[in-house]
Amino acid sequence: MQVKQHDVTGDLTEKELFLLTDALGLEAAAVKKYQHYQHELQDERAKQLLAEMIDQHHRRFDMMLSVLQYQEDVSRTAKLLLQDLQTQGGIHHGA
Amino acid sequence: MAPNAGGSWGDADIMTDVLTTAKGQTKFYATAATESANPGVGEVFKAFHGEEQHNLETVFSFLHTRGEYPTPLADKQQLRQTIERFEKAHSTLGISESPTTRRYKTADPEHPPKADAGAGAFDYKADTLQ
Repeated sequence: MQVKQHDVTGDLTEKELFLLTDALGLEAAAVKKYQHYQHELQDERAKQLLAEMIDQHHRRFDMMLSVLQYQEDVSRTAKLLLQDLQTQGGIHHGA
Repeated sequence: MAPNAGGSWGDADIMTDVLTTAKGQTKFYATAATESANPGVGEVFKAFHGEEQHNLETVFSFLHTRGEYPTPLADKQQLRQTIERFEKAHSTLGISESPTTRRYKTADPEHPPKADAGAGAFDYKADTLQ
């Protein structure tokens, strides 16, 4: 097995495009499903929890779409978008 | 929570599905964070993983505190049988000493590899925790 240096230059890799495509699909499905559930729920606390989660999934969807749209330096763009979201209080529990 | 009537979904069914969705997303983002070569993209996935794991905890707690996700204690006999089974399995491992607390620098082989290193001959340096 040969040791290969990471040759990422800021361009999106095939794998990352695949992952982002999957993630965008998952987030869109989550938003639609939770919007439907919100109308079905009786418990007010559950409705409130779902409302927060819908916002969160919506934010993630927008952010990942932005990563795809700004193709110049994807790593830097992703970091900046994440910082923006953290500054706005959008991400509370990032590792 | 609203009871499940006549085959229709109640609040508990809905929140259980939300829990299942959160589990799936947590696993997905953990893998995605690991397999991204661009550090920025990896950080985004990592942040989403942390966020989704928190959602998972919140929804679990929501169901658990309402008795909709019961967590009964393990059966004592089954517990004893499991211990016996793995004690036997342990004796077949052929290990008599306790495991060491060494950590290995295997995750990041040197870049570039040493010139005299043959194919597949990584320089795995053992390190001891201080």
